[in-house]
Amino acid sequence: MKKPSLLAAALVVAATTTGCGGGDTSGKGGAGGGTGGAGGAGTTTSSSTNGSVLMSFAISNGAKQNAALVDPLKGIVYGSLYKQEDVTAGGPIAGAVEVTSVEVADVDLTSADVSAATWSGKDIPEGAYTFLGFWDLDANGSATFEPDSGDPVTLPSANKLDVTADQETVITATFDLILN
Amino acid sequence: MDSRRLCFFSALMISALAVGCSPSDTNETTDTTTDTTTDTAGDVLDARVPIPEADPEYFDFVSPEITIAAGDDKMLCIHSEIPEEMTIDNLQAFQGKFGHHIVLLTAKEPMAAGTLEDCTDRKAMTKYGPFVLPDTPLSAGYGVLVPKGLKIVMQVHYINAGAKPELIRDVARMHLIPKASVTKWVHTMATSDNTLTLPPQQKTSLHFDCEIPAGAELLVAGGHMHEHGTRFEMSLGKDEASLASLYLVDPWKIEFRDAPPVSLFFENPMLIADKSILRTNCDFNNESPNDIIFPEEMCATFGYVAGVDAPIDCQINPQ
Repeated sequence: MKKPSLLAAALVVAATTTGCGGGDTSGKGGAGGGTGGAGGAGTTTSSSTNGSVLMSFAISNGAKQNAALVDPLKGIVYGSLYKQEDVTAGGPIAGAVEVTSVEVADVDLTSADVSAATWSGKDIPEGAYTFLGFWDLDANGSATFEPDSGDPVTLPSANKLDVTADQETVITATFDLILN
Repeated sequence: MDSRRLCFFSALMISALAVGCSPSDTNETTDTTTDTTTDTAGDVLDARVPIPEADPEYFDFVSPEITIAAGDDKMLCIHSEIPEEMTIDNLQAFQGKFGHHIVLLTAKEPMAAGTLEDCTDRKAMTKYGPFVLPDTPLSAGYGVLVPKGLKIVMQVHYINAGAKPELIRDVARMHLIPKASVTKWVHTMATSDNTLTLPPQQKTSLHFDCEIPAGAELLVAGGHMHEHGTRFEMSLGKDEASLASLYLVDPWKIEFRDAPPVSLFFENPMLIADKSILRTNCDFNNESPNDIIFPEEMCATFGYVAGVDAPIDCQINPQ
């Protein structure tokens, strides 16, 4: 009964734990894929039971003021969409499989509250999802897809979204925590 | 050490009484669920967590099998009693689909071991105290002494957003360590303003102070508010003039009611050399036409401390 490691380290603001990556997040790809770049997206999808997601990024005031945050708010966001039913307060349940991975380059909040860079996910089955991810501010997470000290991360209890058939779901995913 | 387990078997609906298994039943892996309650029947989602193999490194709590109706948001508390003294350094929590959280709490109003209580009502939280935080492993040398006879509850939370009922069975595993390996005993910290009153249709900001004894080492700290909370901050200092922010959640989100962010200070211990003040600041927005009072809304902290002889329990009560 091995539990997957936790993307977004459950419950941790200034944590020493790394607990990230999610058991299923090591790979990229998956349906939808991830594309950086500003704006755009939002077209209807090919399947009547699938929808799309347009995700931008923000960081909470609490995380911004955390002493462990030392790098400028600019870097690549890595993450995954999981079915909401597969994510508890402690992260993905055993056997949870990501629905799609997320990777967005050049997420820059040095002078903005919401990122111009967005992730556009297409052809995502209708349903309720949770985004789990981290912001690789120190640019050392591309191999492990895990955050380390100083990286903003999401909480499993936040960043929930509903995907509806033939609709675009727009969400601003928020990083509420900083790993220490 | 022998493998130990407390289990509460029997399929039952919420609000029913669970059946408690004594530690002597440790090797029980009986699955009493009938075939008709499994997913194969097509009308119930089987979200039961497998019962782990007996392992001498763990003491397991296995919840009863409970059916959560479609659409239900349920918090259930299973009462239990620690059968023998243990030393632990972590609690691992395992849930099935639609699981929200598991936590072990102390029971201020103990009930018979095996009693299953519906604790969905947020007011129920006043009946419990902090005990062990899930998935927060302590560093080497630190440990929590769990005394024999301690009355606890295993609280499980499910939000069944599915279209059909689900059958759940959760597992919480306390990781046992040798008592001799502990050089710093860890205790819980709990503070709360039980006088809280939020006037209607306005924003309220309140704070209260608690004393932290000299020599304490703050290891974990987290905040607790309900859905009217907008911002939470803890500050620490020798006196009011030297208070420095220790933990800030801004904005506070409804989702944090049961799963708040937690600050860990294992690698950079927060040593408190002199007697200090822990100030808790809570901001609220009561948009309702009525007063909201404790415990419908709360302003509280929880955490782990070492370097003290007993838990830190600071309750601001009405005069």
